[in-house]
Amino acid sequence: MDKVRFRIDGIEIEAPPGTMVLEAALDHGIFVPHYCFHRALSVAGNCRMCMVEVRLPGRDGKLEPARKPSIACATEVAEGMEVLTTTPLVTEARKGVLEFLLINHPLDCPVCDQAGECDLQDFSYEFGEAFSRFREDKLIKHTKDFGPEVRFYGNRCINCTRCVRFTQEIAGSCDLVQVQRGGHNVIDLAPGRVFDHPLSGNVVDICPVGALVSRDMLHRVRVWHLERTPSICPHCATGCNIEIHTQDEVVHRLKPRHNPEVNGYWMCDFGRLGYKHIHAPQRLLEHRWQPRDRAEGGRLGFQSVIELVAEAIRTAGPEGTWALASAWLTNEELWLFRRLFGTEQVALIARPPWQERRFYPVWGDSERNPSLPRQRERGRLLEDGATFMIAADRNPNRTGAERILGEQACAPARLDAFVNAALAGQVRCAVVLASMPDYLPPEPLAQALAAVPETVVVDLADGPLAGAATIVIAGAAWAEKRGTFTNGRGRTQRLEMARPTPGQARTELEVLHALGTQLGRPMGPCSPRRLFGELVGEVAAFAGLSWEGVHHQAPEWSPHMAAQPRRLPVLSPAALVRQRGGGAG
Amino acid sequence: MPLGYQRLVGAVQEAYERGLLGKGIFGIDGFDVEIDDPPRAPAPTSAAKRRGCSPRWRAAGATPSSSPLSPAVSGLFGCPTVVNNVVTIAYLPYIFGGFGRGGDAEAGIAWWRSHGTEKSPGLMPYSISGHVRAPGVYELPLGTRLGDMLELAGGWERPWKAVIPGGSSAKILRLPESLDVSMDFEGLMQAGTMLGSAGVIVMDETVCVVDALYNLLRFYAHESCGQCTPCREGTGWAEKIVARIEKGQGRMEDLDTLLGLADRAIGKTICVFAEAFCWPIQSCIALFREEFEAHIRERRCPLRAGPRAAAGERAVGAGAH
Repeated sequence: MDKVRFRIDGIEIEAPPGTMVLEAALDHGIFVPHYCFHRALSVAGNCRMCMVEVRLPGRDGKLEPARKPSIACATEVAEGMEVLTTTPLVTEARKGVLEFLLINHPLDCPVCDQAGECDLQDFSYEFGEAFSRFREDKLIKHTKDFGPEVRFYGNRCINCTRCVRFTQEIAGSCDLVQVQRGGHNVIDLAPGRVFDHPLSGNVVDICPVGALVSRDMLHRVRVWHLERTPSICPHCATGCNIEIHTQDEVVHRLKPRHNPEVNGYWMCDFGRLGYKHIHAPQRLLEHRWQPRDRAEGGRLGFQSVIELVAEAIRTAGPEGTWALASAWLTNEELWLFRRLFGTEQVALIARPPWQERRFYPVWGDSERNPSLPRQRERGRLLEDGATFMIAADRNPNRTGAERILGEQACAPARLDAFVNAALAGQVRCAVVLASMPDYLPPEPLAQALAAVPETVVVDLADGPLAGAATIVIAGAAWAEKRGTFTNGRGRTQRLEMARPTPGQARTELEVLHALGTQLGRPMGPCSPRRLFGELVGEVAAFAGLSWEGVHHQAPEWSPHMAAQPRRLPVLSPAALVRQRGGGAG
Repeated sequence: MPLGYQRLVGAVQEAYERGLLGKGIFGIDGFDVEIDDPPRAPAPTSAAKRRGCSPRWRAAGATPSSSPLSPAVSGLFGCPTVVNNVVTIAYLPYIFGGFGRGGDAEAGIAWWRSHGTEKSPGLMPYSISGHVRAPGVYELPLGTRLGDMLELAGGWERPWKAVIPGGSSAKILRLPESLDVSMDFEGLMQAGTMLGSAGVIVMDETVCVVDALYNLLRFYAHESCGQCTPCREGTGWAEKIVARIEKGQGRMEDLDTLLGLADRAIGKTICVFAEAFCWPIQSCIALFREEFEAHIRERRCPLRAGPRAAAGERAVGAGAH
């Protein structure tokens, strides 16, 4: 396709015809402030923030100065076009828009959760004025909970309609609408609706101001205290790229991280709220010995518990030992697991597919989950042609397990084989590496585990699984690990450690490494990175991957943020006085 | 149902009955022309603008489209769409169809050209309202002198003060200074305003210009569709400021604020609604600044206790009395 050549602020740019000026500018690191424009949504052109001066060559080929500014989001690039983003026409237009946006804004930043990541704050600081000429009463609009995850503060809303377009174009539910008109315009629920769509939390991300905020994190933390760790959401086989936001080692929220080939800009609410188990009161913080035949037992240190497990495995012998891995282990942990236990007397445990009946877009293997038909008709295409959907498989790394342990080891038949062997009394020792939140072992498995004389369970929380064990080891949640997951479409992605393991808890990597050492196997150094290197060399499905390559660096770090982290100019007190002096008191 | 709407629907029905509309009209196979009933649900005025109609017709919300293309290139359903006023369409058969002249198109064109001025030929239905004895719609040649037009509408017992010559968004003119203005496109442009919809609103000396502007701005604040920031916020802001001045609570800097917000709104929106509410602000302050200042100085409306009270506070711009 022929490219159009034009210039933005003197920089020569080539772009395919049909590109909008705003996209071209952002792609080339020229920041143009904008509110209503979002790359994944249709163009509305209503906020008027992205106005630039566009000069087109006239009949004589000379550039003619523009009489009025144009919005960059709805202006197509043209051959020979000259776009200017810093002329007085543009700066004055931006000041005007910001003045209009702020006249009815409550300026309640001190109690607003968006403060610190608010485009209204940032742009006012960078492009606006430090005074207001507005002397009238402000308009009052409603505040209400749109749904379980989203609260709406009408007074803060700038009516950009990103959220309305999201529910129309991405979620397909049309839950949100704009009602009234003129200055009374306000976002509201469509009649008779509750905004409980599984993708509802995304409107909080795309809201450029504090109008739509998360009820989950309401007034809990100030965003500038949050540390951001890039990671992967573990709650289904989609493997949405996310950021884990922590303060003082406490996870406060998960945010989607843009990856056009996996999740676009989005993630679902199941994933978004799927960090609660990390801080659950039932979380295992220490290792325990709870023998079946004796009343004694109790807390153990890590080394003691490992010695106990090694003893149990030695006693049981290779024939009497089975090991179960969960589809929540990282590829590196699975690799170490395979080195330790082989691929014969091992099986895979995993969370069952979604059972809820309510509509949401789900993708997945319909043979594995015949109850869940593919629902592709709703939702918008991501860049690679896939639709943003939640995977039916509620496990992050089933594919990785299949690649490392083999399809047979991961088949349900193998787990049945274990259950039968255990119930027949052939299993002397079972090692279960679960570390899955909300996992209820199916009844036969629970019975089988209870029938095995020595059952070792590595898990996150007290529950039926830990209850069936004789030795309980406190494991690590996914946010406490480094490693890689391979999603349902075969893409290997890296997760990073956002917080240390709590209490005595250890990562499965540490558990496996200590156990191997105790059993006298040559383990060698076991960093996730090193293990991943081994995996690349030894397992064909991982050939060609690199530790650096499996981490997707989002071009846009966070959906509400600009293309590049911007450094704000620091206004000197003198400049503030100058600005105020220009206004009316 | 409004009378105008009844007549429109009736005319459409009549045309169908006579075979002028529908499938294969005039017996030409495949020549289909359909006219839908116009939408009746209330819509903001901005939806009646050229860019507003097509989203409205496909029920996508009554807001003007931000498409950079003109509707004639890409309008309804992305197809080229011609959007015209009823006046234009109503005159077409007389001009190009030789309607009433035995189908002689040349005669129709010559007849059209025999009226009006060189650059603005033809007729125009002027809707004259306000302080004239016989308000109503007058079909007159373009280029008619404003003074003659007002006399034709019956004149008025008190001296005139101002006229809005082209619908409420046209810039106001002072009277009697502008009585000689030629009521056509060029003449009014020369006078710094526009012919617009040819809605002529006449005000006599009892009218408070601040109050009249407040009346207009109330309309605009109510009619803005609220899509673009400057118009959504600016209309309400301007209304509140002018209301305050009229109540005698104005400050001198309010006038600068009004002019400043007008500057910041004009040319910054999708449709021309921002211009529509800003031109009255700019022209009222430019031509009647002393009246605004009197409101602010005296902390009251000087006309409330003056001639206006005597005249019984007759409404301005209310159409037929």
